[in-house]
Amino acid sequence: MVVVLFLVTLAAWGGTWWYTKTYDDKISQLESMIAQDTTKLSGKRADRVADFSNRLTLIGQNLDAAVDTSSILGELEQNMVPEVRLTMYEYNRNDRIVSISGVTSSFRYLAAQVISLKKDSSFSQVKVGDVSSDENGLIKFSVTADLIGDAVVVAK
Amino acid sequence: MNLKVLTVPFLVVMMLIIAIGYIWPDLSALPEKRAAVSEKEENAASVGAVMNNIDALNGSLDAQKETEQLVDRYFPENMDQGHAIDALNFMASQAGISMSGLDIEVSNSKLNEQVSDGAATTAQRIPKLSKYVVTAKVSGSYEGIKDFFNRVSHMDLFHKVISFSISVDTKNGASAGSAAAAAGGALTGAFEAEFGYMPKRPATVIESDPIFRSSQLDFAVANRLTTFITNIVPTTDNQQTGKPNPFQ
Repeated sequence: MVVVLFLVTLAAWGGTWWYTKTYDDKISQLESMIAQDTTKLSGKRADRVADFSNRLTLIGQNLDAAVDTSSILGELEQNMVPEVRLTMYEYNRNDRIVSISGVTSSFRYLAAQVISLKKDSSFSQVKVGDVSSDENGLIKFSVTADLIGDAVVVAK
Repeated sequence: MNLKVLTVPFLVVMMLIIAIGYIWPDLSALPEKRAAVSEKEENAASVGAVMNNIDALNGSLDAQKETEQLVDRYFPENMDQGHAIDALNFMASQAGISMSGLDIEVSNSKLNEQVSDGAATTAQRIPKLSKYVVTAKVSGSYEGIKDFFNRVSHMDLFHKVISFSISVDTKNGASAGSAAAAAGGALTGAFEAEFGYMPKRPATVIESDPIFRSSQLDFAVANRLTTFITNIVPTTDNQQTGKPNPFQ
């Protein structure tokens, strides 16, 4: 009886050893197949697709943040008080600031200009800088306005 | 008799040793090995699918050759300063203004550090692009400068506007407050933009790259680009070169 049991144990040992070896062989066979196929993957055809896709991704990001100068200047035109004349306009995207210098004949028009800019939802802060009047009575002024978050006019 | 007595305990001990030392560990490792096999089978299948997808993706690029050429021209692999200069000059003349200055500065920093889409995997996968900054100075009327800025914004070269300005040209004899100066066209404009380019590099981590998980390319951005570019600069024909005295 004990001998039979011993033989059964030996058979079970042989069985599990064979089963494990089969799995190990299958794993190494699959690994070499994957390694072979992976080598085949790299090449000009894959490079072409990856390069095109990478370029498109970056182009997409750039288009999302594209500045529409026409809309920005159009907005400026709408905000202008007729009695005020600009001498300088600067839009700086990196500093997120718009700087304006101009001349007018009265402080009333300057105030109206500042109010008009403040009403623009693109700006968070409109600050009046230097204000001076020259010998002809013309009032020279400068104004800066901070751009709100994504106030950059985006061309979609 | 003594041998017969010893055989039974010996066999029992051997059975225990075989069962505990060999059979049990092998049996315990079996689920792990089964999982490893199915994982490897999945990997092999996915590599096969990627190979098929690469063929399909190349097929769609072949079918959209013009789009591929547009993307390559818009976003070149080399620094194409000549094209940028030519484009700015062409657009200034189209807008009826004159270009009074041009400054090109090559930068070592990488442009898409600032235009990351927030997805770490995408940012890691996509190579960094190089840039150069071009500042163009123009003079002319307000309408002309505005038209020039608009044309440059929609030109067929990958770029990002940094700043632009318009001011009364005081150098040409006009006083800062002179309405006649502005009306007469004595305005100066400046336009600063970063132009990008990206050398071609071999694809890496192909099997895990999401591009190769699909058999179709998304051309939506390319279509957006086609409508965004409203100003195509004609390619400069190769100028005839050669003269006997270069200093004459």
